[in-house]
Amino acid sequence: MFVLLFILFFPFVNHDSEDIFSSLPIDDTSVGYYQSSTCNISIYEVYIENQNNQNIQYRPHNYAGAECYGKVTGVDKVNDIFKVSIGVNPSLSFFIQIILWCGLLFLTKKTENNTIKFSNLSLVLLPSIFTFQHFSEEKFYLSQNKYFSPELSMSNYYLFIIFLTVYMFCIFTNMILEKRIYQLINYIPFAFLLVGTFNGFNLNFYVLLFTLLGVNNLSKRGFNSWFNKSYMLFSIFWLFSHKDSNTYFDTDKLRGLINSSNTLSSQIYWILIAGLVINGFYFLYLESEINIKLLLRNFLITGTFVSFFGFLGSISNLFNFFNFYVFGQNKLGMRTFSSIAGNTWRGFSASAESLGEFYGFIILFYVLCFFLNMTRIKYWDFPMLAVIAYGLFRSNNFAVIFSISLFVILIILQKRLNLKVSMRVLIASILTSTVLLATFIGSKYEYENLSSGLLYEASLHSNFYKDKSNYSKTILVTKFFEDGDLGTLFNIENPENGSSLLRNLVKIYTPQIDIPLFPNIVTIASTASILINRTEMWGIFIAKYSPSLVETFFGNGPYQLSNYLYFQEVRLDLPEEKLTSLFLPHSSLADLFIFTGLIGIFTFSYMTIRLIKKKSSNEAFKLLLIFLLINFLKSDSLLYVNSVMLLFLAFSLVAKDRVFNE
Amino acid sequence: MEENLTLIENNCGIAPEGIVYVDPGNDPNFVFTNDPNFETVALYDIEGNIINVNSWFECAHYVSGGWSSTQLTNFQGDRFLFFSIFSFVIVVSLFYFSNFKQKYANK
Repeated sequence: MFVLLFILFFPFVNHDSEDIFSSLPIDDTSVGYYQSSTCNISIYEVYIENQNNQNIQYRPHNYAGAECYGKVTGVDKVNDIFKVSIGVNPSLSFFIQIILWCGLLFLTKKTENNTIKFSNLSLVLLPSIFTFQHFSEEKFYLSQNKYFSPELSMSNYYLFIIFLTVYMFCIFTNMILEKRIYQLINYIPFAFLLVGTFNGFNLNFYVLLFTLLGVNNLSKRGFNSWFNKSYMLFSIFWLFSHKDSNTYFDTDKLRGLINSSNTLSSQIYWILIAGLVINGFYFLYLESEINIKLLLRNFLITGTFVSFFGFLGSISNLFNFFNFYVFGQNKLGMRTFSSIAGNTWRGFSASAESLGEFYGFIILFYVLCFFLNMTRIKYWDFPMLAVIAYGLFRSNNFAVIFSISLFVILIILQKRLNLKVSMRVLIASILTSTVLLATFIGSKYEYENLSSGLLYEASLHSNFYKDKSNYSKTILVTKFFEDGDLGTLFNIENPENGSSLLRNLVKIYTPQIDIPLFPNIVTIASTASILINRTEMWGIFIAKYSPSLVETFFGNGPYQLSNYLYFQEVRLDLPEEKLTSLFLPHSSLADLFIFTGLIGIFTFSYMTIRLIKKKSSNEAFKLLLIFLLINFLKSDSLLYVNSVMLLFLAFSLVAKDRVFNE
Repeated sequence: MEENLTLIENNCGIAPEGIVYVDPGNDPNFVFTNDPNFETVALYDIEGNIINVNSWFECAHYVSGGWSSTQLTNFQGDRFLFFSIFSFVIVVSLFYFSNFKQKYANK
């Protein structure tokens, strides 16, 4: 542990106290001094000199050389705040972060009796794949690292550094996991504390880890599974339907698990990565054993630590910087603890929603374990649960608060009244209560507004009436919707302007043959969107997404959002300052639709329903899976590494034949 | 201003007698006068640009604007980093493969 801390903090503390560059109190007069003595004063020196100055913010400066690592590379005054840039060259931080995080893997529990021989194939394959990423996502890396060069030459040290560092990661992981793989699944909760996004890279530690496990799965079990065969089929469609374009997505809060480019090579890279990661999940599922007590303890510790370090980061600028670096956050954490735009937890989580789901999951898991007699209440559980509950409250995720309240009440009722109800009845009663509540809330809206609200919202954001202002467009669109004359709006007035998704949904909403008692799917989606306050976001998604026929059925490929973000021309009906924001679909189902199309959605739904219907030795844990799936419907959690890992864990809890409670 | 003077003197040398640095502002017609007694100093900015200054006053002006006599860009960080990581990886590989051979030799 001491070695890890030394490796981590040494570059930030290291300085020559004899040199001519000493740190000064930061104010208007010393800004010039810091700007001309760059790469000489360490963050430690600056902090010691300016401990009481609350107007300082430390921020990472990636585009600095290795010689400036941990040192001040500039100071700028923005309004009343002095922004101190600290050099953190991505090539060097990649090396340090790998050593640090592999070192933390070393601290997990090992089992002496069970060892696995890891394949050495990963030592060649993984460094090659991840070095290839730097060519395939050239635009991203050009902006991140001054050493980056896509040139293939012996003097391109940058590429050798990447290759060697990934190679070193494979060696470390092979050594560490051979006795620890059996317990590894129980440490998944820590992915919410140690986010694992490499500084200046579009790569996440867990993606690296699961691709390694994926390679081992393939070398141990071969390629011949139904998943790999169907994935091959999907890959063929993804590659043949690929539209090579020059678009670039700066990855924003999705850094680490998103394709930043829209080239054939980046498509190949992400197809490889997604396939290997899923194989890695399967490998971990088969080789690991779930230990409920250990898992629960890790959940409680992680939940508490996320809140604790989040709080520290909000009150201390130094912690804010080190949280980003040590835990591998996608973005710097929030500097205030009050809810700003519902994003209190930014940093530890890409979205407050996904962290809300995590906190809700912990509480539900704890309640289930308690009622299933899998854990005894310990006195230190209460403060930890209180911190977690506070974190949930701060996440502003009403859907999670509502769903866990409902689930917990039903579990308590079932246990206290000693009702012998099956899991199916329990699930049915949860669904019925939700529908009843939805009907009650929905009763205050007119049916027409409920059923077509989503299409109306999507039309407002579409590029209709190109020669008219947004205001005139709104009046015209509203008039056609009030008259119920969608045919004229879409086919005569704006025949080519709407996205293919919007046009097809209108066709489904206004069918030629009306089947009595058969609910219209657009009406259901529209009603749901109004009830859970997703009309605007889902409306924007429908307006923006215009898939071709092949994309409708097979999608755009794993973690490829470029066609969704840039292909369809839209005119968003939003205030000026919001127009440049990142508009994600706000539903993991929509994300899945973009990536894998309708066939992907049907396959996933079929497998999930089959798993839930199947008798399991852990029936109660099905509630956890349902809780997560319901909440994923209204969030983009499928885009975040740790949320995907949590979903994998929920599936494993249900599917595993045996879980240990010792 | 005291610390600014220290920084200037670190880069440009001690101020000649009678010369006090005063910011000339943004006057486009301002011309720096060469000082024959001043030994030319090369200054660099963060992007590696280079400028030769011929008077203490001129040097002070550029240093105040963020230039420095220390050239940082000549340092080949990627090369240094590569050789450091390469040496480390060699040691780790030797350990790994010798260990691997021992462990699985009899299996």
